[in-house]
Formats: sequence, C-alpha cells, structure tokens
Amino acid sequence: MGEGEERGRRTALVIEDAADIRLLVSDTLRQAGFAPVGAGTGAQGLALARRRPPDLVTLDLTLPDIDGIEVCRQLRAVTNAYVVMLTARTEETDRLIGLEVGADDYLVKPFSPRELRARVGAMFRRPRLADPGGAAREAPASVLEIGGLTVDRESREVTLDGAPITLTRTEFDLLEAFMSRPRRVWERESLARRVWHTDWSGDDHVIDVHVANLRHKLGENAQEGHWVRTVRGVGYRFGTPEASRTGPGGG
Amino acid sequence: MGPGAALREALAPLDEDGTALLAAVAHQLRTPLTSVAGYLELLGDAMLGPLTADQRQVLETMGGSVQRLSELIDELDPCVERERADQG
Repeated sequence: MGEGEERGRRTALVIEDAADIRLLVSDTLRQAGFAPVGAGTGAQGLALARRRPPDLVTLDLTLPDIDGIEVCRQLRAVTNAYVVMLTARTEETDRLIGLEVGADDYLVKPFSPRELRARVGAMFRRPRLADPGGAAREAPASVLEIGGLTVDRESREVTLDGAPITLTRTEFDLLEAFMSRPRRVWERESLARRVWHTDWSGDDHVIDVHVANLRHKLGENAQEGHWVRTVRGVGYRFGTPEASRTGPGGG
Repeated sequence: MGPGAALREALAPLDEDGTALLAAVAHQLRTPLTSVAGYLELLGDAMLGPLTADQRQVLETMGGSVQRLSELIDELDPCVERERADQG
C-alpha cells in the first residue's frame, strides 16, 4: 500500500516489535484514514514522536528495549496525542499503570481491527467546539467557570485559581462533562458514552483511573475529591469545595 | 475436554516453571494468530477490496479454522483457565 497519497491525513505512530502485528495495525489505521508510521522499538518510537508529534499512538506494552509504560510516560512529555495501549491478557496491572501515566485506552490482544477502528474513531469524535449543536444543548459558553476552576472548551485550557493545569485529552473531556452539567450524577457508562462516544464495553477501572488522575491534578486525593465526588454504587458528580463544606454529604 | 485441555492435563502436574512456560507459549502463538485473524477480518469486511462469493466462502472456512486455533490456545493457557475460575 503506497504512502504517496497520505499527505494531509491524521498521523499515527505504531510502536510494536512484532512486525506482523505492526503491519496489521498500520493497515487497519490506514483504512481508518490515518497515515501510519511504524516503530519496532520504544527508542525508535520516541524519536519519531519527537521529530513529528503524531495524532495517535498505538503502543505495545512489551517492547524489546524500553518498557511500554516508560515509553508512554516519555511520550506524554512530547505529545498530547491519543495513546492506545495494546496489551497481552496477562498485563492487567500494566494496563492500569499505563492509564495512570497518560494512555487513553487499551485493547487486549488478540484484538479485532474492527474494534481498533471503532475505539479510535470514537476518540476522534469527542466533542469539540466544532460540534456547536452538542455544546449549545448543554452549555452555550465556551468557558465554564465554577468556584475558581475554569475550563476553556475552545483552547482546551484549564486553570484553578488562575494557575494552569495540564490535563490529558481524556481528563479534560471528563472535567468538561462534569462542569457542563454540575448537578448531574454520572454513571460510569454515561461518562464513557460522553467521553468516547461509544457504547461501554470496557471495565469500570478505566473511568476510575482517569478520574483518579484528574483528582490528583486538581490537587486532591485520588480516591476521593471535592471537585469530582464519588456517588457510591452509581458513579461520579461534580462538586465544588464550598458545596462539600456546607451541603449534605455527597461522598 | 478439548485437545488443548487434554494436552495441559497430560503435562500436569505443572510446577511454576511449567505453568509459566505454557503461558509464554500461548502468548507467542497468539501473536501470529492475531495477525492472521486480523487480516481475515479486514479482507472479510472488504477493506482491502471487493470479494467474490467464492473468495468469501474461502475466507469463512479460514476464519473457522483460526477460531478453532484460538480456542485451542485458550485451552492451553493457564492464564485463561485462571481467569475463568475467577469469574466463577
């Protein structure tokens, strides 16, 4: 398959040491409209990401040189690309750590190209200001501000009491969902549908880990927070620190 | 009992090293199988061009064989057995 017509497409970096899987993932992403570039080692992948930050990274966790988790951590220093980890079924702990260091999603091998296309497609369909209908239905303002926490949907910038906070795309989309409907109690499934635009088939850990990361970046305990409060047996809801001090318990 | 499970039983009782070896073998077998199954799916979805009825028939036969191989590997893999036991 030629690469001549790939100019102008979204770019994908496929970091995978098994050549046949690398080719399969590349062909699948090419069919999904990406211009894929392959890397057989973590070092090669990081070098390519630094040279030309991609829109999407698929990352095998078991690489011959650098551990996939470490690759993910270093990727986050150079790119805000969506990162999908491809893992073996025995790597559950690594999967969760991967999400903690900034991966957006994971697929367990053997994975289906159809599923990879669907997951990636869902990521890139996440609400942007370019989706005026969706934005207008829930909150017309491009800047949401509650109790010192500010989310700018247009620039995708977040500040807390004026200080900037760096979030991954998933963390930003979660926070934007919470702040757009601050009274709503979100079931994990509804959050997943909102953030990934897809029916939820993953496990709850994925949402929980992203929420824990978000809380951590908002300067709170990963297990429980005032900005994002756990509603036991249901999911999460937004809550300002003031509300937590004066209102009925939401934790 | 499938042939994979029969093989595992024949190798029993497995010590820790044996269990790890079987898990590693299953993992190594899955890698090329993932590629074969994935390309069969891409072909079957006509992502690489349209198919004739005969070609589709052949793909379905190959898909069935790949599925059987995948189930054999799952039977062989102690990790899968453990997962199933955990799920009750």
